[in-house]
Amino acid sequence: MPEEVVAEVLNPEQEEELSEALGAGILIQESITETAELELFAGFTSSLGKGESACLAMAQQRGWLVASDEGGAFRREAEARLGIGRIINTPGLFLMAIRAGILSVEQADEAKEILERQRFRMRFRSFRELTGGS
Amino acid sequence: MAIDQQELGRRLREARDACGLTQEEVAEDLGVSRATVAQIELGNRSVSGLELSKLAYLYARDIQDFVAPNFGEDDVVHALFRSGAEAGGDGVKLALRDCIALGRELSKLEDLLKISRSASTVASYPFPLPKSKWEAIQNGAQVAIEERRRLGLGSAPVGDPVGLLEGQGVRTGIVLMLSEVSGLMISHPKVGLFIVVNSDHGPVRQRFSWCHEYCHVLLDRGSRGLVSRVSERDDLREVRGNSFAANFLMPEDGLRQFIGSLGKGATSRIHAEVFDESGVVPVDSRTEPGTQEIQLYDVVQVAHFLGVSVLSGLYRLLNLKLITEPEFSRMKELDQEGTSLRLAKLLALPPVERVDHAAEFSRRFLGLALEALRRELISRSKFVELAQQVGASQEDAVELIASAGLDAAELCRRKW
Repeated sequence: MPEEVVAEVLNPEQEEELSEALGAGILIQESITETAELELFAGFTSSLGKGESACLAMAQQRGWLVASDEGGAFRREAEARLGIGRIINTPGLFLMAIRAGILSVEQADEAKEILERQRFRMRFRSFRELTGGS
Repeated sequence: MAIDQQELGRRLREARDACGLTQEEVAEDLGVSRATVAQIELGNRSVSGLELSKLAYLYARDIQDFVAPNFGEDDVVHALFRSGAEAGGDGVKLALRDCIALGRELSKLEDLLKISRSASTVASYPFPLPKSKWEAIQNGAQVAIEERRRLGLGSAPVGDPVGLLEGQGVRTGIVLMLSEVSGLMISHPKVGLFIVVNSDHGPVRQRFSWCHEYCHVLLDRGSRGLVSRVSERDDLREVRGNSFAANFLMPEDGLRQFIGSLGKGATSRIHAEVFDESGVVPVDSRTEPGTQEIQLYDVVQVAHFLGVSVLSGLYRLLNLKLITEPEFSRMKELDQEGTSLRLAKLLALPPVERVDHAAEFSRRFLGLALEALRRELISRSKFVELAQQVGASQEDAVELIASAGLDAAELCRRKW
C-alpha cells in the first residue's frame, strides 16, 4: 500500500484497522523511490488523487496489479496504462483469496455482508456463484 | 527519460533558494530533520510523492515542474515571494502559496474542460507608467470612468466588487496578512489573474482594496505581480490604484446626485442668460446662506450609500470641491473621535456587510470540478482533494458528489 494511500485514511476506526494490518504484516507500506515513478505520479495528479496516482505509478513501473473499486477517470487511466488484466476490485480480491485457499466462501460472504451494510453493494448473493459452486 | 535523483535534488535546492526559505524552515514544514532536507538536495535521499507534493506547495511550483525535462525559475512566483519576504510577512507567502496552488488547479480544470482563458472579459488599458503623482491620479480617474462605462455601471454604487471581478474571470481570495499589506495581484500564465485582500481588514477597507487591486489588473498586469503596502503608498502605481478605487467606488455623477437628493451641493450663486431668439433674459439665483453646507451626517449617509469609509468620502468631497479644507479638517476630526459611528447608529444605517468572497471563488471552482468529475476527466478522489483545497471537509465533498448524483455506490458492475 503506497504511503500516499495510508495518508488518505482519516477515519479513526479505519486508521486503527489499517495500522493493525500494517503492523501484522498483512499489508506492506511502500514508498515511491525512483524518479521515474515520481514523474508518473506527478503527471497523474492532474486528474487523479494522490493515493490513486501513487498506486498507478508504482503498478506501472513495477509491473504490479492495482486493487481499486474506482470507475470513471481512474479506471480509464489504469486500463490505458496497465491493461484490463492488471486491475482488480474488492470482489476480485475475495475471489482470489478463495481460490488461493486463504478464505472460505462462508468467510467471504460474511465480509460481503459487512461491506453491503456500508453501501458497497455487490450484484450476486454469494461468492459461491462466482466460484462455480466449489 | 526521467531525470536522476541528483538533478531532482538540485532543482529542489534552486526552488528553495528562489523562495528565500532555509533548510530548517523546509524541514519543519515537512516534518523531517534539516539533515534530511540537505540529503534530499544533494541527491543522496529519494523523495516520496507526498514529500514532493508538499515541497511543490511550499515553493509555489507545479509538482510537474520538478520532473519535467527542463526546469527554470518561475520569475513571477519568486519575485512575489521575495517581495513578500521583504514585507516580513509569512501571511503574504501563505497567501501566495494558496492562491498559486488554487489558481493552478483552476487552470488545469479549465484546460480539462477546454474552457478558454481568453474568454475572460477583463479589460486592459495600455497606459504607460505615470511620470508624476498628478499623472497617476488623472490616469486612475480616467480609467475608472472608462471602466464604469464599459461595465454599464452608470452612476450607481458598486454592489459587490468580488462578484464583479469573478464574473470577468478574475480569481479572488482573502487571506490573513500583515496589517500593512492591503492586497496583492498575481498575473501568471498558469495561475491566471488573481486578487487577494487582507482578511484582517474591515469590509469597507476590503471594498477599497478589491478596487485598488482591480486597477493593477487593468493597468499593471504586465508586472505579473504586485503587493500593495501602506508603506509604498507614494509609489506611482499605488497612487494610480488609489485614485482608480476612489473614482470607481465614488463616481462624481452618483455622488453629486446623492448629495443633491439631500438638498445640498448646489453653488451659492447661479447666474444664467436665457436667449429667446429676440433677446437675452438674465437669471440670477442665490441659495439661502448656510443651506448648502455639507455636514458630517450627510457624509455618513454618502459613505453608507457608496460602501466606502467616511474618511474616503470626505477626501472625495474635498477633491470635488464640494467641501472646503476647513470643513474637511473639522469633519475628519469628528470622524476620528467616533462621531461618524454614533451618527450611523442613530440614523439606523446598517454596517457594510462582509462579502463572502470565498464562496464566490469556491462556487466556480467546485462547479468546474463537479463538471470534470461528471465527464470523468478527474476521479472522485481528486475531486475530494480539490474540495479540501477550498476549505470543504472530506465528508462535505463526498456529500456534494452524492447530491450531484455522481456517486457510484455500486461496486459490482465490472468484471474481475
